[in-house]
Amino acid sequence: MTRAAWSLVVVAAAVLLPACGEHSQGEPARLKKADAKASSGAVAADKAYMANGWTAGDDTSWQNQIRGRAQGQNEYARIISATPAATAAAPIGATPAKAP
Amino acid sequence: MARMKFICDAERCIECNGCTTACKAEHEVPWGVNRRRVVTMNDGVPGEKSISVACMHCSDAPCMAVCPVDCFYRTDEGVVLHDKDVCIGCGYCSYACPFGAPQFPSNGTFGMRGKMDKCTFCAGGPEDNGSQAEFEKYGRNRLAEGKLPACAEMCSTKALLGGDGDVVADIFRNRVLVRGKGSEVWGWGTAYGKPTQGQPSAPPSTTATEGTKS
Repeated sequence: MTRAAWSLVVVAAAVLLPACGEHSQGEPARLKKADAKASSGAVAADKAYMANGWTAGDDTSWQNQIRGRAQGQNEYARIISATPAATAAAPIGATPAKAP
Repeated sequence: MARMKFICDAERCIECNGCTTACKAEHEVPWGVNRRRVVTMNDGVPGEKSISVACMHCSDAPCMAVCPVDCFYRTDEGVVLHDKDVCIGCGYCSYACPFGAPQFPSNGTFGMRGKMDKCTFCAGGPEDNGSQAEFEKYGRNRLAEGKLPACAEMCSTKALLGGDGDVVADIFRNRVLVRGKGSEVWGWGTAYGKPTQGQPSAPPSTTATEGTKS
């Protein structure tokens, strides 16, 4: 093979082959790990840290637990149980009832 | 299905930084990284207001939209999490986030950012729930333990509410009705959308006479 032909092959390879080493641009989405649902429970954790009152793996049980726990932030429900119902029925713009 | 959300009640926040401390302690967050912080407006001026700020786990999260490696994902509970094994620490999410939530460790070699770190709503990450690997990368997974975020549960004045959006919105709405003021729910519109966008409305917008800030 002539020198010119070899040169042509080298140039052609330099132009065409680099694409073979390119990574797919669509891969990152596939790299993400799957995440287990919170309601499945902290299976690998020390059981002492698990809150009582719900069953790990039961989605409804977990949601009830979380809703109940969130209500723990509502001092009107915890301390003055009558106040929320009284205020919820009040019309918009009405003078708010004072907590006793 | 529960949709996890945060509300910070500026009328109640006393800038004690209990939420920040609870978060740091619960997740052993490294020095220089603050997943949650308290911001005070008009500090020292009578009538100053404080709010506790962290990732709001937006309904249409800008960080997810701009991430070039698509490391973010949203759980069934509406919590925005990310995979640190995929994150390249580019910082785009930090520029996109309206709350300044994404944090980067400052001890990287040659000023490298390192992997992004942010509030996980105490929901860990893509590792096994409650595993040591999950704790080391993302902190405790309290949701999988049947608990709510430590910051909200530790808040002494219950200014910071976290949990199912319907429940915390009801709690806040009731408060506004009882006290007759302080309906501004900071960040709610930005994070979870305004009524015109077809998203759930801010809790007090239909019930209070004061305006709603977003």
